[in-house]
Amino acid sequence: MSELRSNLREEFHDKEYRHSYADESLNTYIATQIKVLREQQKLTQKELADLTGMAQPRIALLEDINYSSWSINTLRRIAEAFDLRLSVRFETFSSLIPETETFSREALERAPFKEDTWFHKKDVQAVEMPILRAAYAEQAQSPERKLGKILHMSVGSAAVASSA
Amino acid sequence: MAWTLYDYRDRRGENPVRRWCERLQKKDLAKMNQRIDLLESNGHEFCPGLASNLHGAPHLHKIRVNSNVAPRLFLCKGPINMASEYTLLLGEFEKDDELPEGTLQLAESYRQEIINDPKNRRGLHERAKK
Repeated sequence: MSELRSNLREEFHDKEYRHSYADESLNTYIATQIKVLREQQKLTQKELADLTGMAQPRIALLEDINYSSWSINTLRRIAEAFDLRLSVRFETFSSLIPETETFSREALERAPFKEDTWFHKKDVQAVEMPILRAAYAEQAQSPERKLGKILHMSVGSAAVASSA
Repeated sequence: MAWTLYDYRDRRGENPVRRWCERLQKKDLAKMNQRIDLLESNGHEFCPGLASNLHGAPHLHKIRVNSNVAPRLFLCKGPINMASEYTLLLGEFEKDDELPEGTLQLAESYRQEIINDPKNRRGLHERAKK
């Protein structure tokens, strides 16, 4: 078990501690993902501000991990500007562990609709497996167990599809 | 890439950074540890606002945690291996957006002590726990 896992496994038994840690992780995730997506789409803060109808300093604020006063409505506007969907869910604390361990630019980047392969490739079956894997992995709450189960199901249905 | 974190050690070999962190309220310690985990996994530049630069102290950075007591942790990159290490130097509390006088100078003097005697004046980061 990694040192981080082992620390959080012990520390999260305290309710006040785990909620504070998770709140900070959420602020970090949101601010950093906005910056990563903006850079992925090669937009300046001013250009994103224009797309969302906000002022540039507001974008700078939203990209600061110390900022916590964002709203779902604001994030919806950002999502629309990036042509992505906004996803808000309640999650288990254990799901925060892999999210923390894999936190990186690659983990935060998302393809906007025009690059969302599943909608644009003619041969849907060829792209279906990796896309579904990624989508299911994102949803997995108890990473090893649930992802394993989902992949097993996907492989099973792929086998059925190919035999048909 | 993952970074190696160190804490400053005083002349007696004690760890004032860990001692300061252990004095934080539980929720502030959780926030501080989250920031330190981020620093260790991604460095200070990936997450905007994680460790800000400081005017007049070009080698120092500041981690801030939102709280009514405004805890601030001062650190530097390296100072021995600049490509793979950070050293946590000093914790303080801001009052009315002001640090106690001499805080940055003290943090910088700790950095110099480490450069002069890295073997004794720093050790691997010790996570503060409640």
